Amino acid sequence: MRHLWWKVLCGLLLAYITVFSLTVPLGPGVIGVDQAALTSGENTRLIQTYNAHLDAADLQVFLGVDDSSYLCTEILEIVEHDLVKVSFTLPENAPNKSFNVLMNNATDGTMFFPNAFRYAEGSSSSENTAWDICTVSVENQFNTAFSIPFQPIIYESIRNLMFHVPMWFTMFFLMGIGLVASIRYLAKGDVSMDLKALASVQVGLVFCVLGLITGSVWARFTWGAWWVNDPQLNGALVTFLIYVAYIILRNSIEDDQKRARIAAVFNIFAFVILFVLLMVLPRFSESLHPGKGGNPAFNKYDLDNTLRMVFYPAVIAWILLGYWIYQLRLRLHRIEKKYYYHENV
Amino acid sequence: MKALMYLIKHEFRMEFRQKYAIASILLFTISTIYVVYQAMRKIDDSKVWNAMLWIILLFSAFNAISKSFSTEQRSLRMYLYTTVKPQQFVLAKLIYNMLFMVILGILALGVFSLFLGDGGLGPLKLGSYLLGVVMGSMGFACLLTLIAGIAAQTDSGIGMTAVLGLPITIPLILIIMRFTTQIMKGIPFSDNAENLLYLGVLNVGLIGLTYLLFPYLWRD
Repeated sequence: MRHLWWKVLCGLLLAYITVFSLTVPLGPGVIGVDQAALTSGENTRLIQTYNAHLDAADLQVFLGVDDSSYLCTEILEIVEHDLVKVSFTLPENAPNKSFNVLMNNATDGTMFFPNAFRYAEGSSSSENTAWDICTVSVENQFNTAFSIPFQPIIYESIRNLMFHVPMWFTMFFLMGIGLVASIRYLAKGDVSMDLKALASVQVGLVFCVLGLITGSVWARFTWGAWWVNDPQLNGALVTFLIYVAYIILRNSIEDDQKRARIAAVFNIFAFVILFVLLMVLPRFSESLHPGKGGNPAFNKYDLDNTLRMVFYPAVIAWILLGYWIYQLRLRLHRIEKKYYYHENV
Repeated sequence: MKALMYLIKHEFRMEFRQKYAIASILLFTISTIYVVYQAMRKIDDSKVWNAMLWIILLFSAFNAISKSFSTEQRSLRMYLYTTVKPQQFVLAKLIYNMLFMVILGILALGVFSLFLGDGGLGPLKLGSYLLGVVMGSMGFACLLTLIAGIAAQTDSGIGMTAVLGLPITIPLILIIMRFTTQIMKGIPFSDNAENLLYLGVLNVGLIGLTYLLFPYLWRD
């Protein structure tokens, strides 16, 4: 029983993250506007939000002119709890500009939508900046309801963070076990180390496939295609191919000792290439993937405390699960050895 | 050091003694280029030109290097096993393969542009492109020497080089393709040199890895 504690922990954490990440509602946010192009004079626009409670309390809507000044709007009608009609006035001969939308109410806090509107009727020489500037007094800036943060483009699919990212962490963890086992095999010639390397690569490959699938679904939703040509994605696929080659290599050598030795050499080589592919190369090239090619990962701004409450447990849970499956797989290999070859390893 | 020089000399001597081996590699490269020529005649699109050249270089490298461990006779290998260290042996192989691949790469570039035109490269960019070919060929040699050594140990023989090597060459190909496409686009060398630096670092790392790991392959 004493050795079981981490398996119990793994099960509990998995249940926790699954329930949490699939049931907690997404926070409020602005999805879009009915027409982005603005004209001089009065404009009437609809603003669509998601999961917001616009009818609940005093709503304020502003258009951000720059970092500190805001254009006033008049709220004409709250069509539905997530749809509002506003009107605002632009001066004649204003410079070309895009406007951010900021909405605020007591329940939802501040909702932000960058570059919602653009004004393109003026020219670069037009200098009339007689904006109808409002002073903003915001009482409640933060969303008080318990929710998963709203991110533009990603929306509800942000829940995939709990599944997609830990898959790769787990794969790295397992391939790392394989690397250490291979190095120790070469150093000592212990057959059990070879079995460890094999088991960890097999389970690591499963997590690699799961990572590819969850990533592909996410890419379809956010980028619009199941697969895009991106350094990070290429690296992931090549990683898969390299470790499949490892399995093929093992199967092509009859002699046990020789197989273990050569597979260990290849496994060390493969891990180095894997590291270059997934950790080094994507950082130096243009990539759509978060965290690579100058894109921010889920950093301190995106990964708020609610997400953190699930994300870190998710990483631990998936790694524990991977390690558990790896142990089972290893035990199976040992039983096979014992049963077929009467070897105790 | 002396042993190393001797081994490199030995590799060259063996290669020239078995002229059919060198001839078969050259035949492979040149006939591939000729097939591409028959299919496409003159290539004006620099992107296609670049891609074709590197595909040809990649497969030539596979063809050339996968042979490098299978040509020795068993008795000779036993003799070398008792007289030289595996590290010296593999360094000699690496250096030989690098030299051979660089020569083959430059030759392939020459024959390729003879048949298919220069793809808009022009004499000005030729210098840096040539540098790319040299570094890329060396990269192939560094990467594939160990893989060929592994493949030679398997029961399915040298056919295994392609299975094991193709996925592993992709990072190298990605860097070298980026370097050369940027040359073709006319991006100044100073903005492009970092790719060459990555390639150099990767090559050095691969040489180190081969040096460390090869002794384990050589126990037979």
